[in-house]
Amino acid sequence: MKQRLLKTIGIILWLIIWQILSLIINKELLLPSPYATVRTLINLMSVSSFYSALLYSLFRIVVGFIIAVVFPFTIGVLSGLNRTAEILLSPFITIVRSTPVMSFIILAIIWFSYNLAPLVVNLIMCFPPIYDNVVKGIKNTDTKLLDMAKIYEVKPTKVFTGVYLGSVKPFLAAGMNTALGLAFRVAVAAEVLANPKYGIGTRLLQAKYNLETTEVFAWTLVILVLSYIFEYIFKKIIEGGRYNAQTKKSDKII
Amino acid sequence: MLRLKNLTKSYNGNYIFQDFNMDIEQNRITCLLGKSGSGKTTLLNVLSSITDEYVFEYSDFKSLKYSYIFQEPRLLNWYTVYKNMQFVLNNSKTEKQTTHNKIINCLKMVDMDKYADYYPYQLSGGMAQRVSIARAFLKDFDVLLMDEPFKGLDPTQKENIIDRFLEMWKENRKTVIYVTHDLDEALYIAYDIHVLGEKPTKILYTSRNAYKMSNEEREVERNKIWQILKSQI
Repeated sequence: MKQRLLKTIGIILWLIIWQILSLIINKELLLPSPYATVRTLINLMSVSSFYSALLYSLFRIVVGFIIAVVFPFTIGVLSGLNRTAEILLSPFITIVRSTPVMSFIILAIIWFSYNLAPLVVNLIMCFPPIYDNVVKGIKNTDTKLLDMAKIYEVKPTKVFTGVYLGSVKPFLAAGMNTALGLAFRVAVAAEVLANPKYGIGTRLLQAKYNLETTEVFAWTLVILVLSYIFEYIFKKIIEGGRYNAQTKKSDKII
Repeated sequence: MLRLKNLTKSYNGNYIFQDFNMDIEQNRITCLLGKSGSGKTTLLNVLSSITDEYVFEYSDFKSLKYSYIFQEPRLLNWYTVYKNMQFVLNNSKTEKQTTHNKIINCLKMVDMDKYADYYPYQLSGGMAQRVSIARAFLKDFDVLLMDEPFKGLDPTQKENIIDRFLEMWKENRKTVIYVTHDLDEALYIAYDIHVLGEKPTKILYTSRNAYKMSNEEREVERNKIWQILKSQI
């Protein structure tokens, strides 16, 4: 409760600093005030093109993210179980990790359509954190539990869901959390460069060309709020999955 | 009688077993007694084929079904007690009711049926170990292996759990091979006791029918085994 209060105070504090700075600078072109930003946002929201940009971006982010979970998860399981697969895949992972996002965006624009490029880039960038964590989770599986399953002749499918997945779960959650944050930033950056017909990134770029700094701020605010909402939903889903050793250790009954 | 003949196993160039022989009476509790590091756990892992890097001349143990009570409970932390029990049963859905009854019965025997919906991390060490004992009896087995399952339990609980275990065992009297370094525990539970020596492990002494002995005889036997264990240091 106290933490929540402090958090709210923190937010208000930074809003005040923002307001004061914008008053000192006193040029909307350089730093619009929070009030001006919100006013512009409300104006934007009254036009239907706002929602098409929003929906197209969300689609790219969400679909990219979902594919970016399923795909590296499957390959991560394979790598975790099979050392050869892991070694064969490692150059790909290293390349993805150290190549600048911009290179991928430019290449994706060359190879795919403007609409598809942001989604593809999103997918590629979300790959390493999820893959890494899944591999870690599989490798972290307790061999003692595996021996137990072997003794009791448990079916391989049950061993997978019961032993391996249980071990991977917290790692996967951490990976997905990182990937979700990435998805928003990467997808919008890709839209700025790819300039698809509808998209938040496209609108950001237009605002820049028109020297509408307030609009840039307003769109950024939209991205931040969306990102926050998604992280919040994600957190709720994870907590809903009853098992969470870290937080529940306290309710030991004896 | 279950026979193991000329077992040899080495690890990093050291022999853990070299031409090791052992007989186990069926439908009895046999204790393997020895200091830590005498290869007791390894022997259980060889018998149950958890490890498979070993050679032998003859073994009755290869094709048997095992249950195993480990030193630690080895429960799945993300499953409830009930689901942990379900995990080791490979039953089809048609037998759902029988399976359910079986699980509840086994949990009842260790007084854990009230905790069926709890997660292992919510239980104390002793309670979790009781679940692991219930799990061992849930499955059909030919031989039950136990690796110091009562170690680290507090003394009052320990006696209670051991008596529970003996009650459960008496219902069908299957073969039990039980590893410990606790001489009193061994004399309390076991029918036969094999005293194991240092690596390469061999049987130094076998005490038969400890359960039939009078108190005086048991005391004599106790001192005898104690001397053998002491001479090993």
